[in-house]
Amino acid sequence: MEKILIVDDEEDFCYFVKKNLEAISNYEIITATRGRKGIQIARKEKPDLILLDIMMPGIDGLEVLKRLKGNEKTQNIPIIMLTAKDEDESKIKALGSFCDDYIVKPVENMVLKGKIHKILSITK
Amino acid sequence: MSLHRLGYSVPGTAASGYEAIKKAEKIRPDLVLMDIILEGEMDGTEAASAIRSRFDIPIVYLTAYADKKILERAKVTEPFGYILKPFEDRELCSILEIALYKHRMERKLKKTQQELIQSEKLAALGRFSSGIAHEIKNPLGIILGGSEFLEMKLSKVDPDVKIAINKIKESTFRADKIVKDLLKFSRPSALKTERIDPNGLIRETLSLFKYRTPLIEIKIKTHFAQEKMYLEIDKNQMQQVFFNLLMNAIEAMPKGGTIMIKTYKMASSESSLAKKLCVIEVADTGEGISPKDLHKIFEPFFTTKREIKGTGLGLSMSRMLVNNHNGDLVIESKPGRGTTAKIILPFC
Repeated sequence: MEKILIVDDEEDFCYFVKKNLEAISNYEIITATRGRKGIQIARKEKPDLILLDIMMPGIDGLEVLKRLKGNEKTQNIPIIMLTAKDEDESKIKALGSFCDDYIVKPVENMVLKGKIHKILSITK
Repeated sequence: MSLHRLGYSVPGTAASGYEAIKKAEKIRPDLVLMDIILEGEMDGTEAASAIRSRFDIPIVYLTAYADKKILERAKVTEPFGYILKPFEDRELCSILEIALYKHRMERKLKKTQQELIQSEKLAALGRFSSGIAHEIKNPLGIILGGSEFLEMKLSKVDPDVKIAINKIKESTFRADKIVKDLLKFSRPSALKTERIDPNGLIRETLSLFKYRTPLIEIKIKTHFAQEKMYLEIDKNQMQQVFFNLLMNAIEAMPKGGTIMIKTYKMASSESSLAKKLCVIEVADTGEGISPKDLHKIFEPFFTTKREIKGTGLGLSMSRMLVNNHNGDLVIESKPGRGTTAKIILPFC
């Protein structure tokens, strides 16, 4: 069973993404509502994929992305940015830090599942 | 009368203030020559004040009276000239010419002021929307997620629930579209101009359009300028403007009708350099826009299409894009007869 980590400070958002993805897939979903906590869990749990918000209190998602992609233990985990930020500048920064995809909220569950599935099938 | 001799036409005369107002409303002359003492209860200054404020027609007083009291009354009506009888043709002619010119300039200034206010409003809207867009998109993500969750859990239980949830989802996408459109105001993308044949651009957009919109009972006719024309424009942006205008035309004709698309050359009337302009015209035979709505159509969020969920951003956005090309977007409309939108762009 593939393990997916959601890092987003909006608890309700994490809750629904988790419930909705679990309903249509076999993924095991774990969540973190702070960037720092997300990094810790990623190192410990080694998820198969991370869904990462950008605007969070404390360490923001772009910094989390840099740290995860800059660390040997976590650099190969595919990361999809899942954020409300729809600016080119933000997309360029994220892609420049080697995120694997960039999705702007709100997103339909089936679309999200499709993107996750595609990335997982490539990285396997 | 000396006015005819001087080359002016006189489409009407009036003996009383009341008659003057009625005729000014009907004829809409370029200027009114007004005596102070008139037949009836209303004097010339009162009639002038009404004509100026209601129809924006300039007034020149032509009178034998110049005492201080009358002058004071005339002054507050903001006349464009004051001629004392008897006068000479030369004097009349120069005062009329200056008054007409001054009025033209005043109109132009007012239009520029309005455009400035409008663009300032748009800029403020852009700054504001950029700040709040993220704050809206996050809860939209939760609303959509929650709706999909409920859909999975409950829609099999009761079909009405499915309908209700779909409505919530549709509204979420609509709110998201408004946020996306607003963000375009906050960061108008840089122009990527290239040399484009406007006729080719229209043909291309129309061919895309056919696949996207089922056109029932709507005919699209084209009349392109014969000679080759080239514009230095951002193809994507201008295609977006043309697409918006086409959608407006279609939505204005729910019972069907004809859309006439024309391109032609026009000389600029406002420039002494006789600048050449290209006009892309989209005319429909729809419901038209009422005069009370016509001056509001470029205001962000103004829409007459609430029932088909218009965001009220299409025309203000389109005009901003055309203005960025040093052009203008003009809308003319007659209720019951249709609306004509003109994209006016300078040649490269």
